[in-house]
Parts: sequence; C-alpha cells; structure tokens
Amino acid sequence: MENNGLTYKIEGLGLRYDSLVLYNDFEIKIKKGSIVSMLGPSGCGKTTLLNVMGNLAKPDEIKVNDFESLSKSFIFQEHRLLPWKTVYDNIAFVIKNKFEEKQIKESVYEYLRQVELLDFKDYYPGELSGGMKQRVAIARAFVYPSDVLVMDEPFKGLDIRTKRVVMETFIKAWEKDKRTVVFVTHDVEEAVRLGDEIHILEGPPVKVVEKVSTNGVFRDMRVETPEFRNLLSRLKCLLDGVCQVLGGTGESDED
Amino acid sequence: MVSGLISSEIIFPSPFSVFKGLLFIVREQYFWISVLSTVKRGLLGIFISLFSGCALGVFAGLKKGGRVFLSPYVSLIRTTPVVVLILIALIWMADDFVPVFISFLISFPIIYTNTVQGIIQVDKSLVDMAKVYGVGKGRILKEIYLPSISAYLTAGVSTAMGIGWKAVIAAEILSQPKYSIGTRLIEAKIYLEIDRVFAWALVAVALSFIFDNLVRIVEKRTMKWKTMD
Repeated sequence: MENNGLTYKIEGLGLRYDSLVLYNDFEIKIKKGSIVSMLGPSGCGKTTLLNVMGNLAKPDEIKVNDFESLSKSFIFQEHRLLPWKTVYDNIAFVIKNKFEEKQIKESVYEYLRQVELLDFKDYYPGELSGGMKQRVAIARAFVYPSDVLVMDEPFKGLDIRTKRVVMETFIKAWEKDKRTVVFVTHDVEEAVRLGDEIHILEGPPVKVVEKVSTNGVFRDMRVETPEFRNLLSRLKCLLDGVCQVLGGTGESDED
Repeated sequence: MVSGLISSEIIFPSPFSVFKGLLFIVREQYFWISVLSTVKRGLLGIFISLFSGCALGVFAGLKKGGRVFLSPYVSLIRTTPVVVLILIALIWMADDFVPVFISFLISFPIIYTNTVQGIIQVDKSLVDMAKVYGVGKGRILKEIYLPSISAYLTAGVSTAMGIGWKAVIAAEILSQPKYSIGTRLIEAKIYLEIDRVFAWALVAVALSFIFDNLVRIVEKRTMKWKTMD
C-alpha cells in the first residue's frame, strides 16, 4: 500500500439533517498510502464524513464513493474495547473469522509488540490506563487487513503526555505498512504532527477551505522547529476564522 | 425463645426437638430421593425458563414490536397468584410435572424481564465497532450481547431461585408427587410431627441458601472482568 499517486475519491456528496444542509456537492480526494488530517471546528460535520466513508451514514446523494467497497478499520474517540475480553482477545476479535488460529496469534503478538503491550496481553481493559486502552485500539485497527484506517479524534480526552505516547505508538505502527489513514480532529497540533496532508474544513455546509501538504515532516515529536510553530499558529488562526491565510511552511495547494 | 414462651412442642418445637427431627428425617429411607427430586424439579423449571426467557428476552430486547406483543402475556403470568397457577396446573398435568411447571412460570417473567433490560442497556457503540469490522450477527449476539446481559441474567436467576424454591414446594404440597420435600412436609403436618415440619423447612431453607451461593460463585468466575473496572 505504498503511495503511488492514486487517490480514493468522494464526489457529489449531499447530506441533510432535517433543514440543515451538512454537505452539498462535496468532494474530496485522499492520496493512497498517506495520512490525511481533516481539521475543523467541533460540530462542523467532520464525523459525518467519516460515517459516510465507513458506511455508517447514508448520504442523500453521492456520485462517487470509492470508500464504499473498501475494507476499513476504525479508531474511535473512545477505545470501544469489550470489557469482558482480555487485551489479546479484543485484538483477535476483529480477525477471528479471517485467518487460521496460528496466523491470528502471530498477528496479534506482532501488533502487541508494536504498541508495547505484549506483557499486558492477559489483562482486561478495566485494568489498563486510558492511554493503554487507546494503544490496544490502535493495535486492533492495524491488525485488521483494511485498505483504509479511519480515525475519529482518537486522542481526545488524553492528557498531553499520554497523548504524545499514543501518537508516537500510532506513527510507529503506521510506518510499518503505510496504510491510507483518514483522521478527523479539531486539534491543530495532532493534525500537523500526523498528517501528510491537512484539509481544513468549514461548515455546514462543509467545504475544504484550505489544503496544506507537509509530507509528514513533523512526525518526530521531539522536534519543534520554527516552521512547525509557524504552521501551527497559521492553522489555528485560520481555524478560528480571525485571519487570512498568511503563507507559511506547509505548501498550500489548490486542487 | 418463642418455643420457651409457648412451651408447647406441638405448636412450636424447641431447637433441640427440631435438631432431633432433622437427624431422624436424614436417616429416613426417602430423605435423599425426596430432596433430589425437589431439586431436580426446581432446576428443570429454572433451566426451561432460562432458555425460553433468554431467547424471548433477546428477541423482545432487540425488536420493540416483540416487546409490545409479549408484554401482556408476561404481565398475566407475573400477576396471577401462584396458588391459582398451581390449581390450573393440577387440572392440566401429571402431579410430578406440576412443580416443574410452577417453577418455570415463576422464574420466566423474572428472567425474561432482566434479559430485556440487559439487551436494552447494551452499549451500542460496541455493536457499531463490531459491525464496522465486519463481525457477523451471530458473533455479535454471542460475544457482545450475551456477555453484556450476563450480570442481568445472573441477578435474574438468583431472584428466580429464591422465589422458585418456595413455589416448587408449595406446588409439591398441593400436587403431592411420590418423592418430594412438599409431600414429606404435608405428611409430617398430618401426623402432627411438628418437629419434622420444622426440620423439612430447614432443609428447604438450606437448599435455597446453597443454590443462591452457587449462583454467586458462577457469577464471580464468569464475570472476573467486572471486578477490574
């Protein structure tokens, strides 16, 4: 699943909630093998877009939806682990009918090692911290053989230190197979740290007001360059709607 | 104390007499077979209600229409006095099966209602998670719904057993199958062997206590994860 320049597309998306027009002829292209951050204020309709991609919401109209036929794995805002299953069983749960027992064990162990929780494989979710639970959710998402990984504010509610650890764990797991990731957040730093591309959304009706490409140069959490800080403040500014696009480190490209 | 105040072994025997009566009935030829027959009837009724209550409870919990349809029937069973149910059962079926039927009728509404509650309370976000990962309906039922309702179910079984034993013995007193605690109780009463009436009552209480604790042990073992939250 290397980045070969191909894209997954949604075109002509229309969706209404009663009289509220959430999407009107909306389109988006996601580069295969990249992490695309969808950055927008709370309540602008970001999660609905993920739900359309994940076949959880039915649009009123849509011309092209490449995501419909793709297999997807999810990391939700809440860990959504089954409290009666151990860490191992929670991860194995999603691939139980897909592989042989031996392969399931190998895959689960591999990703448990990846998220540094192999020693906790027999623990129940109730025995883990919030950050550990989210790392289990990351392992569960990666162990599933999906074309696209969809994330809905997966770091929300974690304290700064835990968030950093979980994000680093995610990057480490992602770098192994460079799966296509669509990531929704309202946190500018998360979007910039993880994304190869950042789509800034505004709405409703939702539209992409700007697209910034960073090619993932800010993924090293220890580095805080002036370029990084400039981009952060520029995007924060843009998101708050209080200033015009001022230019900056990330190349802004129009589609 | 009460026995001391009344000082009549016929009305209220002393603890010593009850103990002696207990030793006597334990050595009786029909003691174990009577106890085991009562246990068998009680458990059979509870198992039938566990399967039917669980199956219909899951259906009614998932489908509102099913809930509406079953509601009047369950209410009817719940509100009809036990003694009326026993009398009807006596007309309809063999003496031996009456206590099983009563145990079932008493337990069913409790287990059904608890199952419905459990299904309604299932965390839907876990079901959505399983759906987006392509987990089939059968596995969602087995691996999400059933574990979710297990706490409601064990609470239901525990309550059903508490009430069920009393109803089974009441049914046995009226139907008088050959081997049963109820039949032994009524015989002791007819022959004015009050110490044995109390002794058999003690056996019934002990049975209830043992099975209640067994349910708790099963609950602890199967829901180890609950204590870790």
